[in-house]
Amino acid sequence: MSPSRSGAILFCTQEFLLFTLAIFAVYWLLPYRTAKVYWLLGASFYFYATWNEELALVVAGSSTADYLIARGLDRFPSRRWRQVLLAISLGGNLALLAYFKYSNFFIESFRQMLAGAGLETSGGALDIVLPIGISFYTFEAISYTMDVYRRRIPAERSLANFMLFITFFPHMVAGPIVRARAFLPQMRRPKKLNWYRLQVAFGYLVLGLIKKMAISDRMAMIADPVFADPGAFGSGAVWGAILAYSIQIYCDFSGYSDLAMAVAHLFGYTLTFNFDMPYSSANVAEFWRRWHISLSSWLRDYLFIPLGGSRGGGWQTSRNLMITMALGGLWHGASWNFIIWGIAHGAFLIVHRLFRVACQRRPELEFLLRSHLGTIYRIGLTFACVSLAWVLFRAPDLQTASTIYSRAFAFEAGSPMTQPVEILAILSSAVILAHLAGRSGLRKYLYETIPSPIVGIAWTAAAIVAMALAPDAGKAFIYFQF
Amino acid sequence: MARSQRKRRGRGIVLAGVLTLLAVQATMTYGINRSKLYWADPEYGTTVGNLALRKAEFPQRSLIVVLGTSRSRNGVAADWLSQPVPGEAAPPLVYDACLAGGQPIHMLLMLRRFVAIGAKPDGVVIELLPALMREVETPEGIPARASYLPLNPKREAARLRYDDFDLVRAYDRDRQWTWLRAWIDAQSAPWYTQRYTLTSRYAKLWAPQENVSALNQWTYAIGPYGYCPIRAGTYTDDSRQRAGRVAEDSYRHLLKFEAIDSVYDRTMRALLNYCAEQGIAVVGLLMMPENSGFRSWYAPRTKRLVQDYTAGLAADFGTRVVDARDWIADDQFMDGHHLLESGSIPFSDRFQRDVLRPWSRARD
Repeated sequence: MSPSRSGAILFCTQEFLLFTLAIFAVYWLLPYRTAKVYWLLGASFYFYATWNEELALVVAGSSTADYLIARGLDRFPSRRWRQVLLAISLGGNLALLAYFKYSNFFIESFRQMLAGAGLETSGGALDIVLPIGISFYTFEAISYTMDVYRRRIPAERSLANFMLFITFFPHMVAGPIVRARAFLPQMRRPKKLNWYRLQVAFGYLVLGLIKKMAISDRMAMIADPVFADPGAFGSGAVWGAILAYSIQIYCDFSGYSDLAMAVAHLFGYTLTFNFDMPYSSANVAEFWRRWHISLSSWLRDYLFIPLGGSRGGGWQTSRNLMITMALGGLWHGASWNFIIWGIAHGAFLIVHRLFRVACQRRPELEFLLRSHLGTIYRIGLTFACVSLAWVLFRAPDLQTASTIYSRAFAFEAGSPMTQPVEILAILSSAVILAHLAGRSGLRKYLYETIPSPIVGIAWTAAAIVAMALAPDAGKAFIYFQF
Repeated sequence: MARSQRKRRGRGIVLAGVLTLLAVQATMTYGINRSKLYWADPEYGTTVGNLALRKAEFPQRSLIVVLGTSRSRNGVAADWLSQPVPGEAAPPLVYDACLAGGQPIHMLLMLRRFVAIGAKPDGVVIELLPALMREVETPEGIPARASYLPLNPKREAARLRYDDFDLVRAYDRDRQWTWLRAWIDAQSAPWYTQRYTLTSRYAKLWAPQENVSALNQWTYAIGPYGYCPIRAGTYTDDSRQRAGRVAEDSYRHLLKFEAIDSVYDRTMRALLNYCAEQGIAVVGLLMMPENSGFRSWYAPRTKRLVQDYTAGLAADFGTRVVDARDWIADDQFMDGHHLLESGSIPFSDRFQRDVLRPWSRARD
């Protein structure tokens, strides 16, 4: 199910650059805040319509419904009516998601279940076009109506403001999942274009280009052949592909988030910070505080905590963790691979929780694990667990994932990697060094002490080199498919 | 950091970045359009570089340039033809200035550039490829591999300097703005549009292997006289069979036509007229060898049409047609129309005997 058509404006293309510059130029010439909002709203719908015009209407319709429901939540004091309205909003958004994204998955799974019971069925898959960004904007809408229900924020009175919150083109396609309470107030603040904002946008742009073009697409050249036909490759190539994909998905997704933040800054908006050096995490719980922060915090606030969070006993907390992570996996894609991936992370979190409790009773062990060497060990172990779980995320089916695991853990001869191992080594080292520089504060120190012209020259040179190293076929961002 | 300090710092960073970007853009655009065209067109860059070296090495010898396609590049053993024979006067310096997928427009561009840099040849041999003569439409969005159809602006524009545009637009009047747009696209961010040639030259580790392979074949394998032999050991029987099938898929349907493409004719005549204006002798219009299977794909009418057309061209411009299509045995071909090294030597020997020497004697 692919929503794109030939006229779609993709990130990292000349068309997107020209589109953004045109919108930017007119935006800052408009004198009134309201005019700016309407201009951005029109641009966002146009951007979405280049992917699919009909589905742009779906977004418009569901946003309008959520806006009216939130106004109703503010207006009606009756708890019962408010619960009904919230249920309509939740039901409507989840129904949209279920229909567009999961229909064929449920149908196919049901068919397989019947086949397993010896019952044959007829009929093919439904012909459904997946609206781009549906996983992201439905979650934004849900978080908005729940926050209004909980009286954390008042309902937005302006339909245009609300629709811009949902459809704002830098983040609509692949996040971050923005909270209304963080975004809507920005619309009411006067906007000024200043050098600082331009510099912040410039920095995120450079970072995004390096991550996407120089690193992620290059890692894809190593990982893709192995995941397409793992049986043909040796164990070394398989491990290389696992490492490459771990780096690819991080740089691809965080690179997209950086580009989204850069573009948002150009219009005077700050989006949620989405990645905080996740591969420097010493345990899986910390990983989920640093990876796809907008999603993990959403799952915590709107799923884990309403389920009971960690307020109950150990068993209930583990149950809540497992449900949250399994559904988090399902959010990523309509496939058993993603569900099992989510369950794996749920298991990691449960094991981590139990181990942490056990360590609290063993101070010597805790001391050892918190030492420098112990921390390095924990970071390495966390990275290994996360990377092995990414195999489920990337493999097209469980059979391929199983083949990859078996070839990784039993020495198997086969073809080597299709790309020089030096490329994997250099780019992996670059990502590690960047994590270290970020965690140690070196990056901040360098940024604040190096003269500004040198920083500008270095950033431009880095962006140019990144574009010069972009491999042949530029790939779409991974999270566009969600 | 105070707000004013942040703004000042931001201004410094942004302005330095923009100026750096403009400087790199200007430097690379100037370089590509003036001296570093090989960044955009490595095949031409290597060709002209080697030609300049040969001219410097043999300044007194007359120069004959072969303009053609990969057939001529593989088949005309220019270094062998240029070797002096003991006891005889030094022969002209022969140089293969051929381009893979070369069409008359490429030959004219190449020749104009040679004249512009002071490397005007005394004579040219112009290859005629019958498959290019067929009348075709000008579809948009044709794949880059289809080099035997009208030029693809997206692929070709990056190879052009701005000076070359008047020629291309005259050739392809219906798509002038498409060419201009493609050229502007190629010139903006040249570090991105020319990244394959840049990485292949300066950072081989990062060059995508398929692009390096293509460049190796058509650029880095170009010899000192432009000759690019297909040597024993570089192919197997299996690869030859596969190449033969590719050639059949590509050419069989192209050799059944009943009219000469007016654009081909116009550009070929433009090339011949340019030679006349510049005082460059046309040694011959050469049709390179093809094996018997390849020759059997011509429809009878097409065969006659090609014969009549080439004879007419030769008569109009006072030169001769050298129809060498049946000169070489079938087992000397890689794929039915590209000669192996073992076939290029007897071909070149006969070419020298029947064409070059008589021409040199008549000239003297």
